Amino acid sequence: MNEKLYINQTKDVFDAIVVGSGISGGWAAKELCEKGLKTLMIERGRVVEHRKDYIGESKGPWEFPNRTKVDNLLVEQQYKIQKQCYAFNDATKHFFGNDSELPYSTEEGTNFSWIRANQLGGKSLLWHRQSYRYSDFDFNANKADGHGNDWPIRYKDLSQWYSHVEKHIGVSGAKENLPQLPDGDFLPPFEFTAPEQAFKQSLEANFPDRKLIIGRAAHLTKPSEFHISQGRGQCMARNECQKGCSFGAYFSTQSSTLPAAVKTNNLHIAPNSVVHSLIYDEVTNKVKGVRVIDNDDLSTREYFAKVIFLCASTLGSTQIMLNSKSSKFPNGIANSSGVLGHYLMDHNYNAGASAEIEGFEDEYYSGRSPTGIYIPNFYYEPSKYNKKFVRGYALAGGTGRTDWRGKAWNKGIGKDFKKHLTQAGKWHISLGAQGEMLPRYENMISLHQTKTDKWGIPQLHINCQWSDNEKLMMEDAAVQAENILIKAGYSNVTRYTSYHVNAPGLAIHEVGTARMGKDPADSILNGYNQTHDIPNLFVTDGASFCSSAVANPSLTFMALTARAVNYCVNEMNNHRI
Amino acid sequence: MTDFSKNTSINENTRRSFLKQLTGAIGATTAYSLLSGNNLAIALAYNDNKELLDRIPLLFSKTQLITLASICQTIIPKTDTLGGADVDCHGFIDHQLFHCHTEEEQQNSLAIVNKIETISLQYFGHSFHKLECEIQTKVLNYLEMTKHFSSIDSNHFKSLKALIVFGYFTSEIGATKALNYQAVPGGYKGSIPYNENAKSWGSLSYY
Repeated sequence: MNEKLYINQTKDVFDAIVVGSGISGGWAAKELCEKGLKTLMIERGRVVEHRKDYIGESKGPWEFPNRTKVDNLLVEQQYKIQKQCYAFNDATKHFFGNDSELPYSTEEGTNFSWIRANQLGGKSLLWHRQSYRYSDFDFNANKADGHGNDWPIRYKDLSQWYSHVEKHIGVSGAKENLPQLPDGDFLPPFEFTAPEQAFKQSLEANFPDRKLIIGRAAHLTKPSEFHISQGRGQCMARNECQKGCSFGAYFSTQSSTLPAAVKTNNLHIAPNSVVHSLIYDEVTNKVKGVRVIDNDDLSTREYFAKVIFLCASTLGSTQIMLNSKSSKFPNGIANSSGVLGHYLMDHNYNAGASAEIEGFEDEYYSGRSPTGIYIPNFYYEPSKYNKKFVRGYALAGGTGRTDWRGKAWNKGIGKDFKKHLTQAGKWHISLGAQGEMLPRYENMISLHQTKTDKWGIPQLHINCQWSDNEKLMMEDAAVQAENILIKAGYSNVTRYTSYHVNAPGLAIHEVGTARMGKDPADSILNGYNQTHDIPNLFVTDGASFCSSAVANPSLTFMALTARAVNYCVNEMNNHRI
Repeated sequence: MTDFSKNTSINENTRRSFLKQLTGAIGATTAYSLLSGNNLAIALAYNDNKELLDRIPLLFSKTQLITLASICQTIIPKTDTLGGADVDCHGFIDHQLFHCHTEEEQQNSLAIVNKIETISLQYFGHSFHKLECEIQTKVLNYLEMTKHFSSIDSNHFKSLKALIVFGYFTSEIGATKALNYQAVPGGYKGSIPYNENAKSWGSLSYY
């Protein structure tokens, strides 16, 4: 990499500052740079270089002293919250935040699991890569049933940007022609297993309103010339993505948007730069730059630009805005509406069912699929809602043959047991609910009155809970998933709900808190992710969402960001910014 | 004060009852050879392993570690691939319990190892590791399949066994020789033929 890429002190005024380098920040930087803007990407954490810094990659479990598990003492001291993430292990732990340095508080009687990834690339290194377009049923949901404010955009506003993003990152999937889950520009889909194919037939015959599709994932199943020219290669089906992938086969900032941005020579990166607040000029009503505290030595510095894109993560962007106070905006910058911090959502992943599948003993699979099976939401409009709750959920899951991890609990001693452990066992199937969470004013973040972190920044105080709607939805999801598996003829079907155990946060799909909207009186951002109050300030990450929708949000972060940059640059060219 | 005599002395009735059941379980000839005290002290090679005896365990005593090694090798014996103790499952378990498990889990594992050793001493007059491999297998099998263990013992044994299995199949030999290891599969196929004698994948995604 270009040595001049990384900067520390500078007096330059950039065309654009992007705060954050994850999925949204990488996209903002790429688009701004490609449009000729001198761009500074600010990252609060360390530099993670593609390939070189994937220190957990390509190692067998025996190469880790605790065989991929993390030492108790280290968990106790640094990862009490992060350990809850399914992808947290000894091969990935260095990509998770140190909880002891990243404190936050929660309202009494509530909890929130805030998963952090403060390094270059952010959570783009750790994400689960499921990539779905939202449909008009999603964008229309708030208006249709009266929960939350109306999204100021519809599918037609975003479809070309979804295509733009998909072509660049590479999304594997199959065209299905489903109204609630629009098709995209796909690379070839991952294959089903034999039982999954049979399950698809059974499901679609028993439940005409339901479809089984293969999970759409940002993996290069068949890289294009363009992908190869970027140094990316075909997915090897290791499914160890969160360790980092030297093949560049899944989308991350490092594999995809960063090389594109660097290529323009318009990019600079300021790593180890914790943004304290935005510098606001009341006279011009513009943001001029950012105040930064050094991640390591706590010294302060400032960076300046003509426009600022906040892509610091849903909670991160809003925290910066809340902490940017002025006489005009005493409660946080661009917060004339007073809704900044409110309407926090996550997805609810707290119900499901599993079963054993008889037969298919002569069937197996080769490689480790990085995706799974997916039943799109079948309650996708008010006329299809379940009577007990509004909105709906998808069911995501997979099949596999039981291996030693399950068989370890079976009875047996000696040679026969050893043989039993080494053979592929019964097929099993699991389905997990991915439920929409309603936008509620009460679910909110604010700055703690007294507590600060090591950088002197007020800590976030989070007050977020599942409402009855989310709980009833999970109860139904467990029953529906169980029913589906029973109807398919599977045995030992068991269902569960876990919303009483897991607080919001663990889907790592936190969205909202600086929502878009048509009305400046009840929203922060307009339909182009531009703050209503300050023309040269944009927020394009998950903070901007009006509803959580059902599907995974990352592809929409990217599409919204690319669209916002296009709008912004057009506004700059026309001297409106 | 602990009443050692009660714990260690062999209650003749209990012993007879246990051996009667064990005879049923393992066959009269073997039971006789146990009773006669013949052919018992065949220690496995690793029991004389200097490295094992010199090691300073974190959690287990040296004696307990030797018992644990025999339990590991009994549950996963050497076949065409190495066994549990051969790949140092016992050393791994000592390390893993210390670093990654709760104090309660540590105590449970120690308790069940002690229990197996106590039973061995009580009924056979020998340490578990001194018993013949075949007898070791039959004893553990008997303990697992009958009501001799209390339900608490049973749970502790299950947990220890699961840890042994985890230790074995996450070892290099276990993952790559006892199973079929694909470090870089090169792509995913949803359907390939399988027959029951084939080894399953040892290359797994650890979530």
